[in-house]
Amino acid sequence: MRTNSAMPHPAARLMFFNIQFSTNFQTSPFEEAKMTNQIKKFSRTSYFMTLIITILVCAAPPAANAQTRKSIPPTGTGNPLRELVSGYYFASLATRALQDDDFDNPSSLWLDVGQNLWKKADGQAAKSCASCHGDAKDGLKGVGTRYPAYDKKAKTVINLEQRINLCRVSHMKAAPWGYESKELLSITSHIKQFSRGLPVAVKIDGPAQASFKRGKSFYYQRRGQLNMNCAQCHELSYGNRIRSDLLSQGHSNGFPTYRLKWQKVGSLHRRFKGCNKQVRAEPYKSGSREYVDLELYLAWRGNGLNVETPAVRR
Amino acid sequence: MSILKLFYVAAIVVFCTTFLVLKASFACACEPKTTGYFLQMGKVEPTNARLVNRPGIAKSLTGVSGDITAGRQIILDRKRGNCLACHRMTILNDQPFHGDIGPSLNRVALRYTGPQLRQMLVDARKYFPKTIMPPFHAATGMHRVRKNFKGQTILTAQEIENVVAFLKTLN
Repeated sequence: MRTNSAMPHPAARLMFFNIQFSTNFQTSPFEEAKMTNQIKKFSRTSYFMTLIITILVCAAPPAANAQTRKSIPPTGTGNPLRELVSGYYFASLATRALQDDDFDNPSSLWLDVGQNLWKKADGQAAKSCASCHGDAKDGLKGVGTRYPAYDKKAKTVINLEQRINLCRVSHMKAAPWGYESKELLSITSHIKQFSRGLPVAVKIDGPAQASFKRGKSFYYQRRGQLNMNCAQCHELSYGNRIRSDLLSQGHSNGFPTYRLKWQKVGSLHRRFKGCNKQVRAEPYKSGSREYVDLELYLAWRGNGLNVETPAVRR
Repeated sequence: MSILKLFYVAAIVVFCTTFLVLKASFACACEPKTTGYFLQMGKVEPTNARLVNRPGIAKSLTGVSGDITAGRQIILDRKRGNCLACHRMTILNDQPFHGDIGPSLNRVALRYTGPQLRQMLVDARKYFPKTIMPPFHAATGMHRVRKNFKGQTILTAQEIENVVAFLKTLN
């Protein structure tokens, strides 16, 4: 019809031109069959390629190294967490890199101080830690995984910081260090670094049971003006974001830790205080019975996670 | 061509008649509907399966109607409402970092009534006893409140009203 008209509309002419243009590329039936065959061949090859890749991926040996696994099942029974994930995996890649490199890790400054203090004689007995324990690398390996633990002499559960101070008072006849002092943090980090890579294994049976129960009730007690408990963030909402922060499971396996917010190494009890203040609750004193109980309960929740001291956290 | 046009007209007439008949039959089956009903059809009544027939706090806490702009400021303020810490809402996308612990507040006014929203701000534990949401206007029943916050509520009564006013716009 269009071909009959003497002068079609410009737009129609364009259309007509297009049709003609496309007809130039029409293939013969023979060529068409050839092309179909090629497509068939190609699809067959890609099908086999996909099959082979799938088989390869499935048959590849799984990453068996426990160090590279992000989450591990909790050890023991009764842990409310289905999986244990270290705070390391909630930190950014840059923060993880800081922790992984012993020279970049800012805690190394505290470790140096700790190493010097280990050998330094102090108190009326003029003894150093090394006089009794020798090299911490051999003598105190794995100590960091056991504390807090029940102490027969103190007749209560004590943490590693308190153990060090007790040693200073009873054996070295020296004054105890302040809880958040550079000395105590350094020596604790120094001792605990030799447990790095070993799984946390605190005991909650026997005389430690009462402390464990108190710690558990602390954990689930709503507190402060914001009326929150620990579990609501760290058990039920880990992996979610509170504003820009990623909520972790709140494990203690990295403490004493270098916190970027503090720009220094700090104790677990300092972190407890910060958490309590954030929900506008009255914090307890560092080294108080309540916080040691909580420390024991928290360590038990993370039983099986590797000690990461000196860790770096945000 | 004229036959084709006739066919179109006939089709339109048949379609309209069918629609009218069907509409009338539906209207007869239920109670009679006014024009206003059909205009409102796009809107949904605020309902949440868990909170149907829960009255909430119907009366304004102050008697003064809430200020939407002030409510927005409280929602953003990290020392006061800090709603974005846990809730995300598209209307505040100019602000970075919305938390995702609580549900999204998009169209929250369609899910809850005004009185229910007010109740949840004052004390959400009434509806959800295990909620993480802080009671923003309840001064009692708290454990070890820090000295400088003792006896105070997180938000004042008027601040609650302002936030309710803002949330009501999210429909």
